[in-house]
Amino acid sequence: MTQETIAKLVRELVKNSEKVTALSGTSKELQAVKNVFANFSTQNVCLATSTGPRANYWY
Amino acid sequence: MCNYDQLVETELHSLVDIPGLSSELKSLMLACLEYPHNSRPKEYRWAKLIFASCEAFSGKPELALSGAVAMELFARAADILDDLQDEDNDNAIWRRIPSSQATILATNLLLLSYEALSPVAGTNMYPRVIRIINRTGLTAGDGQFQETLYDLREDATLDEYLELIGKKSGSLTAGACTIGGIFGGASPETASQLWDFGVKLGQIAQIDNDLQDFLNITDKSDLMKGKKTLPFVYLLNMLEGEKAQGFKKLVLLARENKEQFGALEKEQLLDIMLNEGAAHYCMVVQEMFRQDALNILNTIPTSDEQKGKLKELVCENV
Repeated sequence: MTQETIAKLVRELVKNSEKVTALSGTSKELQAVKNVFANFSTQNVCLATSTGPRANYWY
Repeated sequence: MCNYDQLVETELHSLVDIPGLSSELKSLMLACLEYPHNSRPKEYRWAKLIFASCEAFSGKPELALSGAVAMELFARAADILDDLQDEDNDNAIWRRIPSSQATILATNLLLLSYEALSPVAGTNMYPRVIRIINRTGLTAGDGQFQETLYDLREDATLDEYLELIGKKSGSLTAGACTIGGIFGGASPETASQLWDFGVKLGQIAQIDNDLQDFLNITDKSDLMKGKKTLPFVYLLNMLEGEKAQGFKKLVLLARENKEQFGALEKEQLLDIMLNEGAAHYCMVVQEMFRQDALNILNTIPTSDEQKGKLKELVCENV
Protein backbone atom coordinates (compact mmCIF):
# COMPACT_ATOMS: atom_id res chain seq x y z
CA MET A 1 0.00 0.00 0.00
CA THR A 2 1.52 3.37 -0.94
CA GLN A 3 1.45 6.29 1.43
CA GLU A 4 -0.97 8.04 -0.89
CA THR A 5 -3.37 5.10 -0.68
CA ILE A 6 -3.11 5.06 3.12
CA ALA A 7 -3.67 8.82 3.26
CA LYS A 8 -6.76 8.58 1.06
CA LEU A 9 -8.15 5.78 3.20
CA VAL A 10 -7.54 7.78 6.39
CA ARG A 11 -9.30 10.83 4.96
CA GLU A 12 -12.25 8.74 3.84
CA LEU A 13 -12.55 7.25 7.33
CA VAL A 14 -12.34 10.65 9.01
CA LYS A 15 -15.25 11.78 6.86
CA ASN A 16 -17.23 8.61 7.42
CA SER A 17 -16.22 6.97 10.67
CA GLU A 18 -18.79 4.13 10.40
CA LYS A 19 -16.61 2.63 7.70
CA VAL A 20 -13.88 1.86 10.23
CA THR A 21 -15.78 -1.12 11.62
CA ALA A 22 -16.19 -2.53 8.11
CA LEU A 23 -12.43 -2.55 7.44
CA SER A 24 -11.27 -6.05 6.66
CA GLY A 25 -7.75 -7.36 6.21
CA THR A 26 -4.76 -7.98 8.40
CA SER A 27 -2.04 -5.99 6.67
CA LYS A 28 0.28 -3.83 8.75
CA GLU A 29 -1.26 -0.70 7.28
CA LEU A 30 -4.84 -1.69 8.07
CA GLN A 31 -3.91 -2.75 11.58
CA ALA A 32 -2.30 0.65 12.15
CA VAL A 33 -5.39 2.44 10.80
CA LYS A 34 -7.70 0.40 13.03
CA ASN A 35 -5.55 1.00 16.13
CA VAL A 36 -5.37 4.74 15.59
CA PHE A 37 -9.09 5.16 14.90
CA ALA A 38 -9.98 3.01 17.90
CA ASN A 39 -7.99 5.23 20.26
CA PHE A 40 -8.10 8.65 18.62
CA SER A 41 -9.18 11.70 20.55
CA THR A 42 -8.45 15.28 19.55
CA GLN A 43 -7.75 16.22 23.13
CA ASN A 44 -5.20 13.45 23.46
CA VAL A 45 -3.42 14.47 20.26
CA CYS A 46 -3.08 18.04 21.46
CA LEU A 47 -1.91 16.98 24.89
CA ALA A 48 0.46 14.30 23.71
CA THR A 49 2.22 16.52 21.23
CA SER A 50 2.48 19.64 23.35
CA THR A 51 3.43 18.40 26.78
CA GLY A 52 5.03 15.50 28.49
CA PRO A 53 8.40 13.83 28.30
CA ARG A 54 7.80 12.01 25.01
CA ALA A 55 7.11 15.13 22.96
CA ASN A 56 10.02 16.02 20.73
CA TYR A 57 12.21 13.47 22.46
CA TRP A 58 15.31 13.83 20.32
CA TYR A 59 14.29 16.51 17.81
CA MET B 1 20.22 12.88 37.57
CA CYS B 2 20.82 9.15 37.28
CA ASN B 3 24.27 7.63 37.63
CA TYR B 4 24.76 7.27 33.89
CA ASP B 5 23.95 10.93 33.27
CA GLN B 6 26.48 11.85 35.95
CA LEU B 7 29.11 9.68 34.30
CA VAL B 8 28.44 11.36 30.96
CA GLU B 9 28.59 14.84 32.48
CA THR B 10 31.87 14.13 34.26
CA GLU B 11 33.38 12.73 31.07
CA LEU B 12 32.21 15.73 29.01
CA HIS B 13 33.78 18.17 31.47
CA SER B 14 37.02 16.23 31.44
CA LEU B 15 37.13 16.13 27.64
CA VAL B 16 36.50 19.84 27.22
CA ASP B 17 39.31 20.65 29.63
CA ILE B 18 41.96 20.48 26.90
CA PRO B 19 45.29 22.09 27.79
CA GLY B 20 45.92 25.21 25.73
CA LEU B 21 42.27 25.84 24.84
CA SER B 22 41.02 29.30 25.84
CA SER B 23 38.78 29.54 28.88
CA GLU B 24 36.18 31.44 26.78
CA LEU B 25 35.85 28.59 24.30
CA LYS B 26 35.81 25.95 27.05
CA SER B 27 33.01 27.79 28.88
CA LEU B 28 31.02 28.15 25.70
CA MET B 29 31.42 24.48 24.83
CA LEU B 30 30.25 23.42 28.30
CA ALA B 31 27.32 25.84 28.22
CA CYS B 32 26.28 24.36 24.85
CA LEU B 33 26.49 20.83 26.16
CA GLU B 34 24.42 21.73 29.21
CA TYR B 35 21.68 23.44 27.17
CA PRO B 36 18.76 23.60 27.90
CA HIS B 37 19.76 24.85 31.34
CA ASN B 38 16.23 24.68 32.71
CA SER B 39 15.97 20.93 32.26
CA ARG B 40 17.05 19.72 35.66
CA PRO B 41 17.92 17.04 36.35
CA LYS B 42 19.95 17.02 33.18
CA GLU B 43 19.18 14.04 30.97
CA TYR B 44 21.53 13.03 28.18
CA ARG B 45 19.07 11.54 25.72
CA TRP B 46 21.49 10.39 23.04
CA ALA B 47 23.62 8.73 25.67
CA LYS B 48 20.51 7.06 27.05
CA LEU B 49 19.82 5.51 23.64
CA ILE B 50 23.39 4.26 23.34
CA PHE B 51 23.33 2.78 26.84
CA ALA B 52 19.98 1.05 26.13
CA SER B 53 21.34 -0.46 22.94
CA CYS B 54 24.57 -1.59 24.60
CA GLU B 55 22.59 -3.13 27.45
CA ALA B 56 20.55 -5.14 24.96
CA PHE B 57 23.69 -7.15 24.09
CA SER B 58 26.00 -7.02 27.06
CA GLY B 59 23.68 -6.34 29.96
CA LYS B 60 26.25 -3.71 30.94
CA PRO B 61 25.39 -0.22 29.65
CA GLU B 62 28.50 1.36 31.18
CA LEU B 63 30.67 -0.39 28.55
CA ALA B 64 29.41 2.19 26.05
CA LEU B 65 30.40 5.30 28.03
CA SER B 66 32.88 6.65 25.48
CA GLY B 67 30.39 5.99 22.64
CA ALA B 68 27.64 7.74 24.61
CA VAL B 69 29.82 10.79 25.21
CA ALA B 70 30.90 10.86 21.55
CA MET B 71 27.25 10.77 20.44
CA GLU B 72 26.24 13.60 22.78
CA LEU B 73 29.02 15.77 21.32
CA PHE B 74 28.22 14.76 17.75
CA ALA B 75 24.49 15.39 18.14
CA ARG B 76 25.06 18.79 19.75
CA ALA B 77 27.33 19.82 16.88
CA ALA B 78 24.56 18.72 14.49
CA ASP B 79 21.96 20.71 16.52
CA ILE B 80 24.05 23.86 16.18
CA LEU B 81 24.56 23.46 12.44
CA ASP B 82 20.86 22.69 11.96
CA ASP B 83 19.80 25.79 13.91
CA LEU B 84 22.22 27.97 11.96
CA GLN B 85 20.81 26.64 8.69
CA ASP B 86 17.18 27.02 9.77
CA GLU B 87 17.67 30.22 11.83
CA ASP B 88 15.81 28.35 14.51
CA ASN B 89 15.84 27.96 18.31
CA ASP B 90 16.62 31.63 19.05
CA ASN B 91 17.01 31.05 22.79
CA ALA B 92 19.82 28.55 22.44
CA ILE B 93 23.22 29.83 23.48
CA TRP B 94 24.69 29.17 20.03
CA ARG B 95 22.03 31.38 18.45
CA ARG B 96 22.86 34.27 20.78
CA ILE B 97 26.47 34.49 19.61
CA PRO B 98 27.71 35.49 16.14
CA SER B 99 27.21 32.68 13.62
CA SER B 100 30.96 32.70 12.91
CA GLN B 101 31.58 31.72 16.56
CA ALA B 102 28.76 29.17 16.49
CA THR B 103 30.33 27.51 13.45
CA ILE B 104 33.66 27.21 15.25
CA LEU B 105 31.86 25.83 18.27
CA ALA B 106 30.10 23.16 16.22
CA THR B 107 33.34 22.19 14.50
CA ASN B 108 35.15 21.84 17.83
CA LEU B 109 32.38 19.73 19.33
CA LEU B 110 32.48 17.52 16.26
CA LEU B 111 36.25 17.04 16.62
CA LEU B 112 35.83 16.36 20.31
CA SER B 113 33.31 13.60 19.54
CA TYR B 114 36.11 11.69 17.79
CA GLU B 115 38.46 12.44 20.69
CA ALA B 116 35.87 10.95 23.05
CA LEU B 117 36.43 7.58 21.39
CA SER B 118 40.17 7.52 22.12
CA PRO B 119 39.76 5.06 25.07
CA VAL B 120 38.74 2.37 22.55
CA ALA B 121 41.25 3.27 19.82
CA GLY B 122 43.16 0.16 18.86
CA THR B 123 40.28 -2.20 19.65
CA ASN B 124 38.37 -4.14 16.98
CA MET B 125 35.27 -2.06 17.56
CA TYR B 126 36.97 1.28 16.91
CA PRO B 127 36.94 1.26 13.07
CA ARG B 128 33.33 0.01 13.11
CA VAL B 129 32.24 2.85 15.41
CA ILE B 130 34.09 5.46 13.36
CA ARG B 131 32.43 4.16 10.20
CA ILE B 132 28.99 4.46 11.82
CA ILE B 133 29.68 7.99 13.08
CA ASN B 134 30.74 9.01 9.59
CA ARG B 135 27.73 7.30 8.01
CA THR B 136 25.45 9.05 10.49
CA GLY B 137 26.87 12.49 9.68
CA LEU B 138 26.92 11.96 5.93
CA THR B 139 23.36 10.63 5.85
CA ALA B 140 22.02 13.39 8.10
CA GLY B 141 23.84 15.98 5.98
CA ASP B 142 22.29 14.54 2.84
CA GLY B 143 18.87 14.70 4.52
CA GLN B 144 19.43 18.36 5.42
CA PHE B 145 20.55 19.09 1.87
CA GLN B 146 17.60 17.26 0.32
CA GLU B 147 15.28 19.20 2.63
CA THR B 148 16.43 22.50 1.16
CA LEU B 149 15.42 21.21 -2.28
CA TYR B 150 12.23 19.53 -1.06
CA ASP B 151 10.87 22.63 0.69
CA LEU B 152 10.85 24.49 -2.63
CA ARG B 153 8.77 21.88 -4.43
CA GLU B 154 4.99 22.02 -4.87
CA ASP B 155 4.71 18.37 -5.92
CA ALA B 156 6.31 16.83 -2.82
CA THR B 157 4.94 13.35 -2.10
CA LEU B 158 4.36 11.64 1.24
CA ASP B 159 6.75 8.79 0.37
CA GLU B 160 9.49 11.29 -0.42
CA TYR B 161 8.91 13.13 2.84
CA LEU B 162 9.14 9.94 4.92
CA GLU B 163 12.35 8.99 3.12
CA LEU B 164 13.71 12.47 3.81
CA ILE B 165 13.06 12.30 7.55
CA GLY B 166 14.56 8.81 7.56
CA LYS B 167 17.80 10.46 6.49
CA LYS B 168 17.60 13.75 8.35
CA SER B 169 16.30 12.50 11.69
CA GLY B 170 16.46 8.72 11.45
CA SER B 171 20.20 8.62 10.81
CA LEU B 172 21.06 10.10 14.22
CA THR B 173 18.96 7.64 16.20
CA ALA B 174 20.19 4.88 13.86
CA GLY B 175 23.79 5.86 14.57
CA ALA B 176 23.20 5.90 18.32
CA CYS B 177 21.48 2.48 18.35
CA THR B 178 24.21 0.94 16.18
CA ILE B 179 27.11 2.38 18.18
CA GLY B 180 25.54 1.18 21.42
CA GLY B 181 25.13 -2.28 19.93
CA ILE B 182 28.74 -2.41 18.74
CA PHE B 183 29.98 -1.48 22.20
CA GLY B 184 27.77 -4.25 23.58
CA GLY B 185 29.26 -6.81 21.21
CA ALA B 186 26.66 -6.93 18.41
CA SER B 187 27.76 -8.69 15.20
CA PRO B 188 27.93 -6.69 11.94
CA GLU B 189 24.62 -8.29 10.82
CA THR B 190 22.90 -7.30 14.04
CA ALA B 191 24.43 -3.82 13.88
CA SER B 192 22.76 -3.45 10.49
CA GLN B 193 19.40 -4.39 12.03
CA LEU B 194 20.01 -1.84 14.79
CA TRP B 195 20.54 0.83 12.16
CA ASP B 196 17.15 0.01 10.57
CA PHE B 197 15.53 -0.02 14.01
CA GLY B 198 17.04 3.37 14.85
CA VAL B 199 15.80 4.92 11.60
CA LYS B 200 12.22 3.98 12.54
CA LEU B 201 12.70 5.41 16.04
CA GLY B 202 13.93 8.71 14.59
CA GLN B 203 11.06 8.90 12.10
CA ILE B 204 8.53 8.35 14.90
CA ALA B 205 10.10 11.14 16.98
CA GLN B 206 10.27 13.51 13.98
CA ILE B 207 6.56 13.00 13.24
CA ASP B 208 5.82 13.89 16.88
CA ASN B 209 7.82 17.05 16.31
CA ASP B 210 5.89 17.76 13.08
CA LEU B 211 2.53 17.35 14.80
CA GLN B 212 3.64 19.61 17.63
CA ASP B 213 4.71 22.26 15.13
CA PHE B 214 1.33 22.22 13.41
CA LEU B 215 -0.73 22.15 16.58
CA ASN B 216 1.14 24.99 18.29
CA ILE B 217 1.69 27.55 15.58
CA THR B 218 4.07 30.35 16.52
CA ASP B 219 6.22 32.77 14.53
CA LYS B 220 8.99 30.19 14.65
CA SER B 221 6.91 27.26 13.44
CA ASP B 222 8.12 25.37 10.39
CA LEU B 223 4.76 26.18 8.83
CA MET B 224 5.45 29.93 9.11
CA LYS B 225 8.97 29.52 7.76
CA GLY B 226 7.94 27.64 4.62
CA LYS B 227 9.31 24.30 5.76
CA LYS B 228 7.37 21.16 5.08
CA THR B 229 6.12 18.80 7.78
CA LEU B 230 4.11 15.58 7.48
CA PRO B 231 0.65 17.09 8.22
CA PHE B 232 1.41 19.89 5.77
CA VAL B 233 2.46 17.51 2.97
CA TYR B 234 -0.60 15.35 3.70
CA LEU B 235 -2.94 18.34 3.29
CA LEU B 236 -1.14 19.51 0.14
CA ASN B 237 -1.68 16.06 -1.37
CA MET B 238 -5.19 15.32 -0.12
CA LEU B 239 -7.16 18.57 -0.33
CA GLU B 240 -8.85 19.49 -3.60
CA GLY B 241 -10.82 22.40 -5.04
CA GLU B 242 -11.99 25.11 -2.67
CA LYS B 243 -10.60 23.37 0.40
CA ALA B 244 -7.15 23.22 -1.14
CA GLN B 245 -7.37 26.87 -2.12
CA GLY B 246 -8.54 27.89 1.35
CA PHE B 247 -5.67 25.97 2.94
CA LYS B 248 -3.04 27.45 0.64
CA LYS B 249 -4.45 30.94 1.24
CA LEU B 250 -4.14 30.52 5.01
CA VAL B 251 -0.58 29.22 4.72
CA LEU B 252 0.38 32.08 2.43
CA LEU B 253 -1.08 34.56 4.90
CA ALA B 254 0.89 32.94 7.74
CA ARG B 255 4.11 33.21 5.80
CA GLU B 256 3.78 36.58 4.11
CA ASN B 257 1.42 38.65 6.28
CA LYS B 258 2.17 37.51 9.81
CA GLU B 259 0.39 40.48 11.39
CA GLN B 260 -2.89 39.44 9.74
CA PHE B 261 -2.49 35.82 10.79
CA GLY B 262 -4.17 35.84 14.20
CA ALA B 263 -5.98 33.52 16.58
CA LEU B 264 -8.92 33.03 14.19
CA GLU B 265 -6.67 31.93 11.33
CA LYS B 266 -4.73 29.59 13.61
CA GLU B 267 -8.01 28.06 14.70
CA GLN B 268 -9.05 27.61 11.05
CA LEU B 269 -5.78 25.80 10.28
CA LEU B 270 -6.20 23.57 13.31
CA ASP B 271 -9.75 22.71 12.21
CA ILE B 272 -8.51 21.76 8.76
CA MET B 273 -5.82 19.59 10.25
CA LEU B 274 -8.16 17.74 12.57
CA ASN B 275 -11.20 17.50 10.29
CA GLU B 276 -9.35 16.48 7.14
CA GLY B 277 -7.42 13.66 8.81
CA ALA B 278 -3.89 15.09 8.97
CA ALA B 279 -3.45 14.21 12.65
CA HIS B 280 -4.98 10.75 12.12
CA TYR B 281 -2.66 10.10 9.20
CA CYS B 282 0.45 11.15 11.14
CA MET B 283 -0.50 8.81 13.95
CA VAL B 284 -1.17 5.95 11.52
CA VAL B 285 2.32 6.37 10.06
CA GLN B 286 3.80 6.45 13.56
CA GLU B 287 1.89 3.28 14.42
CA MET B 288 3.21 1.55 11.29
CA PHE B 289 6.77 2.56 12.11
CA ARG B 290 6.28 1.42 15.68
CA GLN B 291 5.21 -2.01 14.40
CA ASP B 292 8.23 -2.08 12.05
CA ALA B 293 10.58 -1.15 14.90
CA LEU B 294 9.15 -3.82 17.21
CA ASN B 295 9.34 -6.43 14.45
CA ILE B 296 13.02 -5.62 13.88
CA LEU B 297 13.64 -5.75 17.62
CA ASN B 298 11.98 -9.18 17.82
CA THR B 299 14.43 -10.61 15.28
CA ILE B 300 17.49 -9.28 17.11
CA PRO B 301 19.20 -12.22 18.82
CA THR B 302 19.24 -11.24 22.47
CA SER B 303 16.94 -11.76 25.43
CA ASP B 304 13.63 -9.92 25.81
CA GLU B 305 14.73 -8.69 29.21
CA GLN B 306 17.88 -7.08 27.80
CA LYS B 307 15.94 -5.48 24.93
CA GLY B 308 13.44 -4.05 27.40
CA LYS B 309 14.74 -0.48 27.39
CA LEU B 310 14.81 -0.26 23.60
CA LYS B 311 11.24 -1.53 23.52
CA GLU B 312 10.23 1.09 26.08
CA LEU B 313 11.71 3.82 23.89
CA VAL B 314 9.61 2.69 20.92
CA CYS B 315 6.45 2.73 22.99
CA GLU B 316 7.27 6.07 24.67
CA ASN B 317 7.46 7.67 21.26
CA VAL B 318 4.00 6.73 20.00
